[in-house]
Amino acid sequence: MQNNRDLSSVSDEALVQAAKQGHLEAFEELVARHRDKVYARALTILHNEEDAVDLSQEAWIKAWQRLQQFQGESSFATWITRIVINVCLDHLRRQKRLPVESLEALEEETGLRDAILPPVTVNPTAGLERAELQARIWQALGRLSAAHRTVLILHEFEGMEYRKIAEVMGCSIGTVMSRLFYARRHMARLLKDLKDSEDSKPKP
Amino acid sequence: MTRDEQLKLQAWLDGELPESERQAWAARWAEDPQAQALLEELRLVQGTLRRFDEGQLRVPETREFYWSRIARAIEAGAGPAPAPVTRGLWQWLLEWKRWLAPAAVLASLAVVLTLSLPGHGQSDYPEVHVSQADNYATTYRDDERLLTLVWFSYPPESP
Repeated sequence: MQNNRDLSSVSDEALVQAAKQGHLEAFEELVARHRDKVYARALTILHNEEDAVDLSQEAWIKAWQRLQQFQGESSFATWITRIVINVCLDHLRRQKRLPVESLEALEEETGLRDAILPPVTVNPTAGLERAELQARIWQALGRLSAAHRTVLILHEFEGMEYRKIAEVMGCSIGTVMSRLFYARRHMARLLKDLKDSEDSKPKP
Repeated sequence: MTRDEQLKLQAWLDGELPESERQAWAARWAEDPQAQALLEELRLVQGTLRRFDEGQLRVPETREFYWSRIARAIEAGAGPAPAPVTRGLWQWLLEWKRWLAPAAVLASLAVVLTLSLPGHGQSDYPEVHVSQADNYATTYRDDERLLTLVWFSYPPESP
């Protein structure tokens, strides 16, 4: 195997093959290439920097252990992202931050608060600078429940279909639809509230 | 709108409604201001999230530091490593190292037996205590000469 400096020009596929043969330096290059993406996914789901670092590293360790199972049906980036999502979901389940189906009624109840409010039709992020917009979205995502945030991320950021989300989160398609709906409604309300509170601050 | 209709509206927006139902629902919602307002809100959230740049979220650690924990876990044998296809000298050495601990135990037993044979009482080494804390550390102690020797086999073997 070539040294680390030369590996930057080697394709993911070739690195995976080398890593499968036990070349740790090839695996290190894969980590270096995709670590930000993997960390970002953990961070968006967990909203906790320390946990995101720990769990993204745990995902890489699992990836090494399961590397022989990776047959290239998807890209390596997609494969490792699925692993980190599962690691994060397991973590949330351990912390009981993901409601189980039997608690769905309770979740619906909290969603109903938003359901009875009129929809937000004026864009609360219009005119924001890029950095402000990023901060506003991040803040609103952080105020969602872990279950609502996760379903939103899987759908909007990962581009997963309802069926796939249901499979990953271990719930029914109906639950996915319901969670996604209330997550979106709540997100709209949060963005509006953040705008209102910003507008009410005295301007210099 | 009923809850079911709201979820169908969302499914329509996400392209998850069956083709056979799409047109009928679209025509119905076109005449429903409540549905239009809700659709506007759902689109607004969708559009806002798509403007979020995940590229700004970067690991707050250097490449080396981040990798070091992963490497340590892998080297500590966190699960089975990928099976090597080629068997070089290094693989042979790794396999050979598995026998270090049993070999150390056998060697220590040999020392004990040799020292306990008749005639050894008059030797320069009248009494040696041998103890094994676990399967990779063996201690030889000579009380008379105040000498202690600890033999470690590395890497430690799991029981």
